[in-house]
Amino acid sequence: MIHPKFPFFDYIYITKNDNRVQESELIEQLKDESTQSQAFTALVKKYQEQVYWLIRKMVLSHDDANDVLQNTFLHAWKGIKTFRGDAKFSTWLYRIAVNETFTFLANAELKNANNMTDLEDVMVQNLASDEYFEGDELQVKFQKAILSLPPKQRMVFNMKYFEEKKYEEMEEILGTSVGALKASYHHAVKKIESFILMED
Amino acid sequence: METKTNILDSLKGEKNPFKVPEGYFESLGPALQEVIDQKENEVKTEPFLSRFRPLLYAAASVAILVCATVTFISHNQENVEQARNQVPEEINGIQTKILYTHLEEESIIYYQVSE
Repeated sequence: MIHPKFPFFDYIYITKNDNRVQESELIEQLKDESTQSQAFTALVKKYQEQVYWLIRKMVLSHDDANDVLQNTFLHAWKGIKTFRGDAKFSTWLYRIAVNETFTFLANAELKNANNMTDLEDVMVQNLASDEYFEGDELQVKFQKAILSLPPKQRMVFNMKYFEEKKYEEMEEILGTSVGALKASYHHAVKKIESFILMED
Repeated sequence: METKTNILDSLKGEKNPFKVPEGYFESLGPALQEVIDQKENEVKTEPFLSRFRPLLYAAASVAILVCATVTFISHNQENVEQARNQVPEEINGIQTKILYTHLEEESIIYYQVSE
């Protein structure tokens, strides 16, 4: 049974009634316009939390993460015809999420250009008063240390440290060689450790 | 070095300090569907407008040009008519007299200087 109005609800029927629906089947369904919407919603449901957390760890605020996530899925839906299934759906979706996140951060940087306080400092200040952040002093310091990294290196660190992604998958998402990613992560770890110890 | 590594290791073991509103992920599907529907509707209506937009611009430009030309011509004709009706014929005579007077004075000065 397919929900007539909200295809996004369809995953409920798909997953409840047929647990055997595999990602490869959903990818096949994406190519057919009559099943495209249902397959997309099922895939979105599968990856929405992972993608959300990747974005959230970069932008920190829940509201901003929600906006970037919506844009990510919107662009994914618009560009669904360009998805040929050569790469994994998750890789393709992550790539869109990464681009949307960098675009958001670049725009935030532009909006903050006239502000005497750096964007990263503003983000840390907002974090302290965020109702959806319950970290202690050490956690705030940790976020401050991560924010001291340039955005791309921050993304590399977050993907490896929090998401525990393989370098090969990160290479496909970020378009950077495994060697460069390893070096970037190694330097990021050093910088963060030094930052935390220096602040103590 | 060991102490440094322990910091990141211990932080990794801690609970995720970031939270989401209650039921956020459950309501995300319908919320995204709504956003996509809205954008889809925008996309559907846009080609109709964008198809006729150049035509509308051209029609507006022509209309403005016609209005401006008509206004200019009628205004100009009115001015000519007004000039014809309002300027008394004596003015020509007065102006000629003033010119003659001026010429006469210049001729006198020139005459005096050359002498």
